[in-house]
Amino acid sequence: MKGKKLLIFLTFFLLTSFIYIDFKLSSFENDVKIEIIKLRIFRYLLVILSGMVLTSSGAVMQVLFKNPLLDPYVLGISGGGLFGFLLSSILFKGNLLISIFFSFFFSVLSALLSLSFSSNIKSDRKVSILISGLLVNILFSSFVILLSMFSKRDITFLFYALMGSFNHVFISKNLFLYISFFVTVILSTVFIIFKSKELDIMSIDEDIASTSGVNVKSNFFLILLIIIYQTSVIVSFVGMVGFVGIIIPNILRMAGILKNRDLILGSFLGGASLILVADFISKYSFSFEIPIGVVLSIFSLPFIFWIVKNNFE
Amino acid sequence: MGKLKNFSFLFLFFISIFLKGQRIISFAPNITETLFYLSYDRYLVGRTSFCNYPPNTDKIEIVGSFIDMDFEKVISLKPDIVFFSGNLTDKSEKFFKEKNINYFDIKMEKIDDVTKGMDSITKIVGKDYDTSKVEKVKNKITGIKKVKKNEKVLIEVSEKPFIIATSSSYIGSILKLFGFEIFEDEKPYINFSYENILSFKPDIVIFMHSFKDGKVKYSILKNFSKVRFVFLDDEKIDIFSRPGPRVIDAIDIIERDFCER
Amino acid sequence: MVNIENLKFSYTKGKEFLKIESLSIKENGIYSIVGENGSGKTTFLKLICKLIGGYEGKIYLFGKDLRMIKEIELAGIISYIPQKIYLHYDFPVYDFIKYGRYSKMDLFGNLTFKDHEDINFLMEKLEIEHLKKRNCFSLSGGEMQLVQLARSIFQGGKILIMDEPFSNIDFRHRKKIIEIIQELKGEKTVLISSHDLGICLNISDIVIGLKKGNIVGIGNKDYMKNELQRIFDTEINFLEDNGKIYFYEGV
Repeated sequence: MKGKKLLIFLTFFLLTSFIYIDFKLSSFENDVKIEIIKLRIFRYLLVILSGMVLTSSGAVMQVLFKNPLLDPYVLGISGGGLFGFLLSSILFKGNLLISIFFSFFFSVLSALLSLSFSSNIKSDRKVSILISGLLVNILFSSFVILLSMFSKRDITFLFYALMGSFNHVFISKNLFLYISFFVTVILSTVFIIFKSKELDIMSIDEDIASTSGVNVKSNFFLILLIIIYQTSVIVSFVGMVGFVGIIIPNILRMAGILKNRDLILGSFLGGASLILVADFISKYSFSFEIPIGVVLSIFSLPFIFWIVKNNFE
Repeated sequence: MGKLKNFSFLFLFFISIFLKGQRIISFAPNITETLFYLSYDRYLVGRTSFCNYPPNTDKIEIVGSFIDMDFEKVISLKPDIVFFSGNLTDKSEKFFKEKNINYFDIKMEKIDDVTKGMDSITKIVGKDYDTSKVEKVKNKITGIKKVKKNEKVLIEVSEKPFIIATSSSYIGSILKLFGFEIFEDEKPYINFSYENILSFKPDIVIFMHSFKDGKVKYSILKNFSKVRFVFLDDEKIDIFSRPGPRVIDAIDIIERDFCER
Repeated sequence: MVNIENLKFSYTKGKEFLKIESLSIKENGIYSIVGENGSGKTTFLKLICKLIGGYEGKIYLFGKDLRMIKEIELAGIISYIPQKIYLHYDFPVYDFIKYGRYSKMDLFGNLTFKDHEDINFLMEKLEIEHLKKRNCFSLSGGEMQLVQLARSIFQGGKILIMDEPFSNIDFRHRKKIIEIIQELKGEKTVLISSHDLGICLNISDIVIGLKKGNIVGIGNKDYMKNELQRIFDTEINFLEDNGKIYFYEGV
């Protein structure tokens, strides 16, 4: 049964991948075909990596905070990351390495901020973490807008950063950096897969996890830190892309995939496929590109509503 | 005979290359207008979705909006020259540098920039062009006659937020040549307030948007009944916001609609 | 095997919640803790499981200071069933039990063949083998308690701590749980907190009475049956028959 589900996901993913790269390719002249394929493959890699990371980190975050409505976007991490990225691109003229470091730093800061906010709100933990994450996100989004006004950067950059876009320009000079970030992100996801048994026990009950031999606190912060790293790298490339991290893991849980290892692997395939489809829509539905965040929010709002309905009875 | 046939084919081939010349993409409506005006439109292979004048632009493929572009389409059109007009983003710059495509940002902000921009475009594209056409624009601009009375003109660009065009803007710089008094500022477009209206006391208000109730807020002026309100239609708004060859039309409109009386 | 010396604990500063001068729990047998709500039963059990830190005094497990014992080592000594677990996400029953031996898992979360045999044996013994393919959300309270018990026994360790294992459990499952506990007493020390005085006194070797964080009585059932009145500050009626004690509310 499990194999069957995986096979369905894999087929869907491969199919969408093929369509994504092959779409209308024959309409291009032969001498530009290579260039087009090159452009598409870079974009494709960025899309699936973001899909994988954002979705799996959403799934993991939902376990860590025991709240099915969380993803890096909701917790304010991506807002902080975007702010850090913008700040460093103003201060250091867009050096990728420094930008991602800044993005990571401010993501950690925003996560700590929303954690401390939520611990001071005397309410249901589920609600308080949502509220504080939202507040932190608004705060950093405002900082982003403020900063962009001072920096005299074109406003379009901001627009696409806040709503997310995969129309990224890769420079061959930075190829080594791209590869190293790609590899570290992949390695960190592999690490999280190895941590899935800890996540399993922590999702059952923290006291049971602790008496079973899991160091709950250190695992919590270690895994959170890794998620923040992944998210900040992705945010530096594509801006804020929300909602995939909420939708896919919840659909997988409904489909009976309950163990975290399967959930994370399923999130890789599901998230990558969903973002591929969304990016395809954003690329081809109009003569100009719509930000991916717009496409995702329009299509995912009914799902979000359904998840809220099921979880806050 | 066969040799001659081959030869003539080769000749035709070279001719066609020469005629085909550069492949140009324009990323700004005013650049598109200028290219058409200078009869460079046969080189034009790509435009933005905002380029809508002259009417036969719609035969040219759209490669992006004013804010973002379709990199795949740009590559597939194999451009030699890409023009921007003040809207070159870091991202686009990075892309064209990476792909070794020549790009130029022809900034055309004030009325003086129109002929300067035309000159630099002809220098970049080269080839044959009608020099008389550039001369015509230059003569039209130098032929502007100042009106005697110093009327204050306020150009409202949008109602919410309340933004006006200053003397540094395109329309402002044209009106200034006519001797109208325009709100002075270094920035072409600035935020305005009700207090500013009271202290500036405009005699003419020009609306460059389609919100017709914009008039109401000027009722705080003492001479409200004497203030002239001019509403521009969409075509005129385009003319007054795109520094390009249609400056000729712009000057005509001002002479006709603003200067008499 | 559990030795407590001068244990003091407070949730808020200056307000002592639990104070135990000396307590010694010996190997094998059933110990139950009785007391009013808020008398510190759960806190006491959590302190032994190292779920709460920040106490004064010493707790020794097999002669070793609890503060020096790491989680992974403690998992081999104590297994714990909390008063109530609130599952946020559904989870397969079999895997739930399997994670009892987390401390013995390899990097990929796999257990040995023998471990899986142990699970099957335990599920059969606790009569829950029909739940093997089910998920936790679909279980009744009694079934879930048996699954938890199976998990704790599978975890191993010499000490089993159960916080109110009989509350909200139907008669059949309660009987089963009592049977299992009595079977375990030969090989484990079972520590139970409960409000069910009948079960506590009849199955326990030692009953510990807690009142406002202090031990006010400790001993076997024959001694403790007369002390209960002092612990609960109210008249307690019971009948004795054939060595068993039956409590009734007296209405």
